[in-house]
Amino acid sequence: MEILEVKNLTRSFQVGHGLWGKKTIINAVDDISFSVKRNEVFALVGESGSGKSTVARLILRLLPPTSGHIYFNSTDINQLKGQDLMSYRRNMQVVFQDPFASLNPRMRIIDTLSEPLIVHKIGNKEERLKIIKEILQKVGLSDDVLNRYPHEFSGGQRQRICIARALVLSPQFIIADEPLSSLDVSIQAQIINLFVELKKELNISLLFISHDLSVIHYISDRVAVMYMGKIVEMGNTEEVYDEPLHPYTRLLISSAPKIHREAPISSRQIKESFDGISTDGCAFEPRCQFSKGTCKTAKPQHTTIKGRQVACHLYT
Amino acid sequence: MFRIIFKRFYRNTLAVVGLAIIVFFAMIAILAPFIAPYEPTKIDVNNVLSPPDIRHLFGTDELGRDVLSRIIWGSRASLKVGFIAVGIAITIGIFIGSIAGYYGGRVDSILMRFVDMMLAFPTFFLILAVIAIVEPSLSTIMIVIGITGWMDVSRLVRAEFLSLKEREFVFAAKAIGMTDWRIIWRHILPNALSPVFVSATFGVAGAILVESGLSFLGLGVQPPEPSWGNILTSGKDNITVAWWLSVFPGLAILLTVLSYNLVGEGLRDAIDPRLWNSDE
Repeated sequence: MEILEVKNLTRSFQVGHGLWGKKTIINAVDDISFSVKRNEVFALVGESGSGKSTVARLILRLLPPTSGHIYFNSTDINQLKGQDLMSYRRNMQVVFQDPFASLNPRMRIIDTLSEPLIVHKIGNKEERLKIIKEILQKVGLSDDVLNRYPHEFSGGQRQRICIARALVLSPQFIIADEPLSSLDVSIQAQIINLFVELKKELNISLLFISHDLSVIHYISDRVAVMYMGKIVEMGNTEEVYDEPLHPYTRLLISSAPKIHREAPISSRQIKESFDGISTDGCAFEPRCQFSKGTCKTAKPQHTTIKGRQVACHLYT
Repeated sequence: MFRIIFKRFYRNTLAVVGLAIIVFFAMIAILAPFIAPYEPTKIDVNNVLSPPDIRHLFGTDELGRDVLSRIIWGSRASLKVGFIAVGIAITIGIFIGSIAGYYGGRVDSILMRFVDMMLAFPTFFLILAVIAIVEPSLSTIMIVIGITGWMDVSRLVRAEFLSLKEREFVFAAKAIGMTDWRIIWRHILPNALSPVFVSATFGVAGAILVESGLSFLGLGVQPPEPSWGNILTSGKDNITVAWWLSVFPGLAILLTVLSYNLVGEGLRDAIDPRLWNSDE
């Protein structure tokens, strides 16, 4: 059963403005659709600038979409108001990339963690403290962190605090926007295991955003690969990982460091500058080694192959 | 973080001297009734324009009033104007700057054009014009200096808000469902205040100068109430025969304004994180 459904979501940004300046519209998220099932870990993967974080912000309703819809438990989140919006916010929480920027430096941990409960009018002072202590235990921190300030903690500890903040409202869904990227590798392993444990224990669905394929392979059930605002391939993680269909997915997987590796697939040099990318054809065409005539003139449509969605002219 | 600022500030000798002078003048203002040797308005016609001696350390003015006592009482006017005017300016500046920075877009454009417009007026003449309409008094000057001096603060606050509202803890706060008011007040503003404190310190110095100037012109604190500015006025009339009437209040103004500026600069350097790593 789907908990989150994203349909034809598009978000464009205007770059280059001013009184007489030429306006250029860039689609950071370009007509994407996917859905996440209850208790599923769904991953979004792609290089920086591919629109992953914009998707997160759209789902969190921090940005309005240019077009398209997002349904949470079958209700359109952009129609929500008042009490309904608050209950959506309670059920949809987020963990961000940079644990140094995502905690207010002037608030003690206890204030940061009790604030969501205060805003949602949950419990009195003792009950809130009880909830917070339970959550701290779940994320592997002791009670003595409560009266300290964020600068007293390491990156991994801060990320645990951020996860605790997302969990205090006991949400149904958590978006993890590159939660490991700014951590040391050894800490990354701890945090990712924490996510796996929490997911099992608390029955939450997870949208996991990352550019790190090994992490995604480890944690996610299904994956969508994004390139320049579009989903180019989507399917079960194991299948995508074992037999990538889209040339971009192949490139990503082959360029991830592995112990036993074959020779990486070469990507052609990117020649075009940003505005040189053809708006008619496939966005990946300039880098694709299988590029052919139609790739420059027509946008690839999604086709279903081996139970997967792929947008590439190789398969049409 | 405060410990580092504290440490860095204390390493700046001039700023610490400035702070000491400010504290000294603040004590004088608070304790004026106890330490002033004479009533500041008490006229003594037998002792007109007497030079400094053991009875009148700073001499007497053209009505025989003790200059030391008048300077001690006058410090009250200066400090009051400094703090209350800056308080008003900061309040307005933070309010307008927060709204412009947080909401951005059209609200920001309209508010910032209003700020530009206010900045285009020469402040001192604006104050003169207002005082020409309303009756000059200490409270009038404080309010007028306050409502003509908030623009810099609002620009600073706006700039801080523009960068802070893109920080992830603000996104997290929005995702939790906090009201705009709560986000501004609890999350952004406390992180935006350090440059405001620096600006406020300089603002106090500026306000004291404006008050002295206005009182000197007879548009500020009205005699017989003493103020450093209006003591200077009588000093000007008698400058050829009584130097003490100009020198002592002048020194008081100089020292106070200089101290606030030194402290402001010390604070600015101590708060600037770009200067932290070099020696910590």
